[in-house]
Amino acid sequence: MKADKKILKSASIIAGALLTTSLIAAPSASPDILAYNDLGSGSEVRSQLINQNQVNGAESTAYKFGELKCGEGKCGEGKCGEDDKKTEAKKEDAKKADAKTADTQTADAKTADTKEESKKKSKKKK
Amino acid sequence: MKLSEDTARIQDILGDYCRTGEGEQIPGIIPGRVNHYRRLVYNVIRSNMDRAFPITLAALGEEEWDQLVQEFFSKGLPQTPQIWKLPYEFYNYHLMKETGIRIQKPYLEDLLYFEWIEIEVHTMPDKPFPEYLSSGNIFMDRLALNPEFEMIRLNYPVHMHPAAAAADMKGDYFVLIFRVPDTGNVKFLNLSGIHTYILARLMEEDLPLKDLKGDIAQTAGIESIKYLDDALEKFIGDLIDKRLILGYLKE
Repeated sequence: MKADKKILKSASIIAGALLTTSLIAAPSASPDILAYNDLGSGSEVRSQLINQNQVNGAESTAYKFGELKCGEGKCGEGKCGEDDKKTEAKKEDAKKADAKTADTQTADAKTADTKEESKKKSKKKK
Repeated sequence: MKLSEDTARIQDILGDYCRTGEGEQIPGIIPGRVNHYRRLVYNVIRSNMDRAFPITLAALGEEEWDQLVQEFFSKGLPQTPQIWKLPYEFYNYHLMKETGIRIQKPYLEDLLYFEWIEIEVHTMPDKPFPEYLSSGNIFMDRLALNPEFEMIRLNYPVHMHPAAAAADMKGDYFVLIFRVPDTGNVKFLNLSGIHTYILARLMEEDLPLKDLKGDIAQTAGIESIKYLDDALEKFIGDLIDKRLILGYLKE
């Protein structure tokens, strides 16, 4: 991932950044100068900001794939080893098989429905 | 295995069609069906972006957000084969295109970056932790920092305020994002400039806090040593509780 201008790595860069603010210009410490606040976990920050930002009619998911358990999300490659990827692949295969079964079942059900409907229709005709 | 020239060419045409909806006739494709590929591929991208940037989606609204995703999809030419990195390319595309200025949402770049950095910190490769002790002296001993964190600077306080309100609050804002050892959860702290400076000094230099206090006092314009000591003790103690500081380095 390429280095980003927003990431602060060096104290000298930060000191330079601070010079542009009014912080250092203040001759004595104000009560706010050493204030900081805990914004919480990713999901807490997100939920709060989504609620605050909600535009009419917009719906957002309040989770990220980063917070799903390993194997459930699409990321996590930095955290999980190859074994987890294999497990994930197996899960995917199992899901596909389930989906196919479900599709087949749905198709069967539809066929059964169609048969019943045509029976009813033929009875009506009679 | 290397693809034949024909296969590669057809794949390129199909790829272009999926992204733009335009293109020449694709050999072997049944007319009327190929548009479903485009729809399905777009759904994957859109769903990925929705999950990566839910705050931006909420702030912009469905219509404007969809335009941003559509534009990236058709013109962005993403290079990564890893879908979890795609949000970074989305952010980078709109940064380069100055979309925020174009759509008169100056906070857009910050908001996208703020949302991306959570994914980056969450998925960053494990870093080696220093050997440390749980007990020690905050000022006299060298502190052992959890290496899995980033500090960022934002121009708009999109991490604390609704984006529309943040647009009127341009300034310098510093955010610390770190991954908690053991749980892997990502946490956020809003920092003052001085806290950011303190952490960067601790990170860069292998010195105990007592050796940095003079510089900190001078940089912050603090004259009362007691005030500074109390503030530092509270700040460092809090970071130890939160596991950004693991403890004290073994001598």
